[in-house]
Amino acid sequence: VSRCIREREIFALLDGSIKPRAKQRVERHLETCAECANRVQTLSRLKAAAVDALPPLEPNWARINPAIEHAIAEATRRPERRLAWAPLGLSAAAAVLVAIALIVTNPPADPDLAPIEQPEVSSIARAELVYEPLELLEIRISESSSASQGPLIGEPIRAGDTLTTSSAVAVRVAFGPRASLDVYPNSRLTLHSGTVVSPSIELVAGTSLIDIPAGALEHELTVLAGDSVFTILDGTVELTVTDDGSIIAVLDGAVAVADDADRPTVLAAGVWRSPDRSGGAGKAWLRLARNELGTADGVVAGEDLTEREWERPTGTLPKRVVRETFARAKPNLKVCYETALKRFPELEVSVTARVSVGTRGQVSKVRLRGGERWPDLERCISSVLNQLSFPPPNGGPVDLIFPLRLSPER
Amino acid sequence: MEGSSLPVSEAATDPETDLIARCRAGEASAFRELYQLHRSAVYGVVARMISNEADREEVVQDVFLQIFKSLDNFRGSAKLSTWAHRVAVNVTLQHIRRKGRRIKLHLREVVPEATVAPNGSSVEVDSPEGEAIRHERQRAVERALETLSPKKRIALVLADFEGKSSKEIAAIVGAPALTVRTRLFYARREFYAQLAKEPAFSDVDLEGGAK
Repeated sequence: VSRCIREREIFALLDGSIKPRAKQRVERHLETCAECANRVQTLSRLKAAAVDALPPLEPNWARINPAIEHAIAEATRRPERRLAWAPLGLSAAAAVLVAIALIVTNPPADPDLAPIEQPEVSSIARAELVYEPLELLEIRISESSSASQGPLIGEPIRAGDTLTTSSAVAVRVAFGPRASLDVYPNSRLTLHSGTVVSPSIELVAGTSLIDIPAGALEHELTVLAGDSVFTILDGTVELTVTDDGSIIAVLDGAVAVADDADRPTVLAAGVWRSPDRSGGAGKAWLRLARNELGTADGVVAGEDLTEREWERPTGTLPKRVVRETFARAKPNLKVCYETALKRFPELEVSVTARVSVGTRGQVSKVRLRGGERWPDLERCISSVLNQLSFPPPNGGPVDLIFPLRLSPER
Repeated sequence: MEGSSLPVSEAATDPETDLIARCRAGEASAFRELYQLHRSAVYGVVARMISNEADREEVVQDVFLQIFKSLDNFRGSAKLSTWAHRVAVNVTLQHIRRKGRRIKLHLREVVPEATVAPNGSSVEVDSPEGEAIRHERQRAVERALETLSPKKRIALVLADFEGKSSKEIAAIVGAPALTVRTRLFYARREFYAQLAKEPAFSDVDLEGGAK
């Protein structure tokens, strides 16, 4: 008498994934075992009934389409602001190298560090190292091919360049105790560090750059997850904003601790502000690091928040339009609140937002009241509301007031 | 009507690559085409995970928002449909996770009367009327799905309700096929055991037993 069928085998039989030999055995057993045959029957009927129980889907596209049209309009507007991560390969490698070049501008090089030399490579390779987080890491490039010129900015890394990065700024925060660099053919990297332990676990970091237009006072930056299977176990997204190469702010990203099936959408968001309110061009670097295998994908999106001319509210907008438009911001507002909750688990707050809508339907100004004690939250809410886009109001600009009550569900 | 009627060939001409290129070039009609092709599949995944209609719509919108925004990163290693599924799964899981953490954002908008045109809004309410048994069964299925952890739920939904193989599911959720099969096994075991206990499905069990 053959053994009874395992549950796993029944499921495999029902979805057709059972292997031919196992199938033969199972079928033979079913001929003689009424109990197993009954189990298979029941499960099969249950499965069919479950699928049958769900009504056919009847999506109301008319309700969904307007938001999609809005998204299309956003996506096709100013495409130059949508910078993608360079795909892993030549350009990604260049981006990583160039990032380090830019972030570190005045290296306090330590001559006592013993150099660890990376052998010259003939194809793209990955240099990996483990070092103490609080130590200085110096990377010296003794040779480099033209391929290592960064495609994102016009600052090539030249042979003889020395790049140094201090853990306090970039390495500890962005990379943890491990780092990896892509090395180009015909390039040689000399890695100096007192505490390089060994080549070790792969970590791929990505970098992207966004230009801040001349004259801008504020610029919002958002980091979105990209195409890859995005695994962050303990990662940190660091938004390093530089102005003329010097670091003026490091914005910690809100990073979800995610596992393999979860992927945060917005990884980080922050606002670059002109340091002396004089306006002016700047560069914002974004560095993304992970401690799991995978490629570094992401999008940096920027939106100019420079104050617009004040317009007196005289127009009107239909309530339905206001409600629908505002509804689109809800998910992102929730993200703002959840991010704040991580730091302040008991946070409950009422914030009143006054959103000024200009004649073309664009948001011209957002003012918030009530959230002053949580500047990150305010900044986040403000940037979400700034992205709203209304149809042109009748009769001139409009001011809309949204009271937001942020509270955990009891 | 939807994408399913147009078999997308994977031949050398590859209309998919062409479509993505057009999207990247900022062609609005290409975005619309992409949406039309994949919206039903995306809605299917979202709808089987989220029962509330308004939430579903919000999530579907978010999925496409995400797809449009990250199209530049799509490197063509997977089919566009797989990638769209993946984004749908991720956004849906995120939504569930947020809800699961019992965080609620109360939003009342009070629009100053003077600035608002007096045309009122209409609220559409779905009225799910019909056969009582089917409705009961539907509720029972939804309840049983809700008892599963999100990862198990998505595996079960994709396998038993969308007919995907574990290999396809693995590509969508970004986990090894073996992991998916394990999840699927436990998901099915929990789900069908739960369903068998539901009064609405008791006759199914009996029919099976009578055979």
